[in-house]
Amino acid sequence: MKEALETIVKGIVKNPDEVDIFETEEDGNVVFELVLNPEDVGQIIGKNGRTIKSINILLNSLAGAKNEKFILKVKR
Amino acid sequence: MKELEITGRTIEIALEEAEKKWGLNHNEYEYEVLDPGSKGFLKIGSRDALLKLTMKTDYFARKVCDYLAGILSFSNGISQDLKIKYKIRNGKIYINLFGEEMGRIIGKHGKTISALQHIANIYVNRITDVKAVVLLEVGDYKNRRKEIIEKIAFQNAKKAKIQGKRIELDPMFSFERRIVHETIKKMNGVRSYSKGLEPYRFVVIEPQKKR
Repeated sequence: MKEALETIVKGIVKNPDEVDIFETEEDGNVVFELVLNPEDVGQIIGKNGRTIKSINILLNSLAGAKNEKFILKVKR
Repeated sequence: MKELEITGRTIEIALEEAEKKWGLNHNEYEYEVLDPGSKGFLKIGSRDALLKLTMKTDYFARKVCDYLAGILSFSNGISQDLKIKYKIRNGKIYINLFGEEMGRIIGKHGKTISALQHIANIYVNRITDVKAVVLLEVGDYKNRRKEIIEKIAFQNAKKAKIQGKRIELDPMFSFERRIVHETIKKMNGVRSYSKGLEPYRFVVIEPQKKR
């Protein structure tokens, strides 16, 4: 799912070369920490968090049957 | 659509480089020669060709389809027989997804397809100058959903009229609320409005007071 997240994020940021994703685990959930160029942080979160929420919905449905819960964190 | 200026030693070279750089096909752009350039004499006074290149909507439509196919290729099961088709109407990009297991792309109450559409719009608008609109459709889900919503709106409006009280519907997406409002507008003696905050915004149908 990390590759999927990378594909999604790199397609919508201005600086795809500066995208870093770190995968950790917290209370049985998969946590992805996104490190981006500061310029792209607003874009990836979106108005009222709509974009980051959309990405999360998408990831969860791509994972499908496994029923994992993903948590996304954005850092600059 | 996107306009940009490109240069090259000759017109042909400039176009060839642009095609390679952005992965453009022959039929996906138009160009205008601003300066044909000059070879000069013994390299003295030589000038590069300058062109104005216009990328057509077809290019962005193809790119966004590739992007979506790329994302969906990571799912277990969805992508195997996935077909993505697009058409362009009034400058809007309509994308239709076909295949097995489409229920997962749609998600509960169309949640996933809405998320995918939102991301597709951001993708296209990052690479274009002019605001572009991308609309996603899975099989004929939206059409079927439209029929269901019209029915819900009609039945609840009837109930509101007969019982003389207002009825609050379940939360809906904006395109669904719009269908309700359009249905109610065509009926007499009832009116509708939306209430609440996204994503729990819902429609209220109430009997209209006679003036």
